[in-house]
Amino acid sequence: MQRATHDKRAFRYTRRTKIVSAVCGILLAGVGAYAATNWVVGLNSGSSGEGQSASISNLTISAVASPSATNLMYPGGTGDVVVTISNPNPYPVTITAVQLPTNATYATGYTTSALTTTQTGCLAATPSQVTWNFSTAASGSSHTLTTALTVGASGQANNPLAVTLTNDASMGTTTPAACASTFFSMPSFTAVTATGGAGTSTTTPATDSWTS
Amino acid sequence: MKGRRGTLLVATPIALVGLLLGSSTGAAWPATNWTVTLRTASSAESHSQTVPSAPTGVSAACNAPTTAKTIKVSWTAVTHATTYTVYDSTTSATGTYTAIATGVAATSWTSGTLNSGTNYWFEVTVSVGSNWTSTKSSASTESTINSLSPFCVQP
Repeated sequence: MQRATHDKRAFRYTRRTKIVSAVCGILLAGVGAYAATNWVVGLNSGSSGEGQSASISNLTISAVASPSATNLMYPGGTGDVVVTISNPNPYPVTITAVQLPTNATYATGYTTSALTTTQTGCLAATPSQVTWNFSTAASGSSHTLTTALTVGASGQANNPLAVTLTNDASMGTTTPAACASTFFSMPSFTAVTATGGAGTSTTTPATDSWTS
Repeated sequence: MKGRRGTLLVATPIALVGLLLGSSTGAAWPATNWTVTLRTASSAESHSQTVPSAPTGVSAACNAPTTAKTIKVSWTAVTHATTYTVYDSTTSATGTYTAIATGVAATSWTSGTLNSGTNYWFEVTVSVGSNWTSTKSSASTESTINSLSPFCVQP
């Protein structure tokens, strides 16, 4: 009898632990699957996201003078935007979408591509009427890139990644004449959406855009 | 012992599936901290065109010289043009010009009935948007309006 009871308890224990371990395995699978989903990368320093990050360093998106924009803006038209994206992480990061400020958030004009001396009569408050193309009245509207951009791991090729965003800057029809032949610092993205690093990084310099 | 061996046997394959799913898009991702920030606000650069150059190829032609005292002014299209403005001078090619037609969308404009015994020269500007306007073009050739037919002649 004692032997039989012991075997029964042992059987129950085994069965319970199997269930527990199966649940743990499923949870691990879920974590793995979650890693494959998109996550949003905020851009404002000091946000809670930055504070939470212990081992993922922040991306940097910077203006660059080269390559220069091919399509230049004019009143009622659009123009190219050039950026470089730096990834300090030891793994590639893939950006799939950007989140834009409102369409009433305007760029400031500068006299040269160094973006150091502002252009008189062409400031954000003037306003310059230069905004992100397809931005809306709502802050944080998300726009999917035509092609996902993968920035190489830190110290690897294609990091930083230079990108020309084709015709993603827009100029209003009432832009002042002072804004002609002017370089613009575009309003900051509110966030970007990215996924876990892919195997192959995008070759720099790259061309991309969002079209809606 | 049997039960613990069972735990390993059951959990390990499923856990491996989870880890493989994670590694398929970046095994180095930590299990937490999915949201990270840029070090600073992003910046990006764009550039604008220059104010448009003055239209070229401005010409004036007697529109219907045997029947009307009108002149047709034509010019070459300017890229991204929104509208054109036509000016006239009745003193000389280098005289004072006054706007006689604004908001012209086409690349030509025909006057109304002009004054007899008067010489006319024309210039044109182009606007892109509402505030970017070129300088005036070169003057057209001279046109003269007569009281009798032909009502319009050109030297």
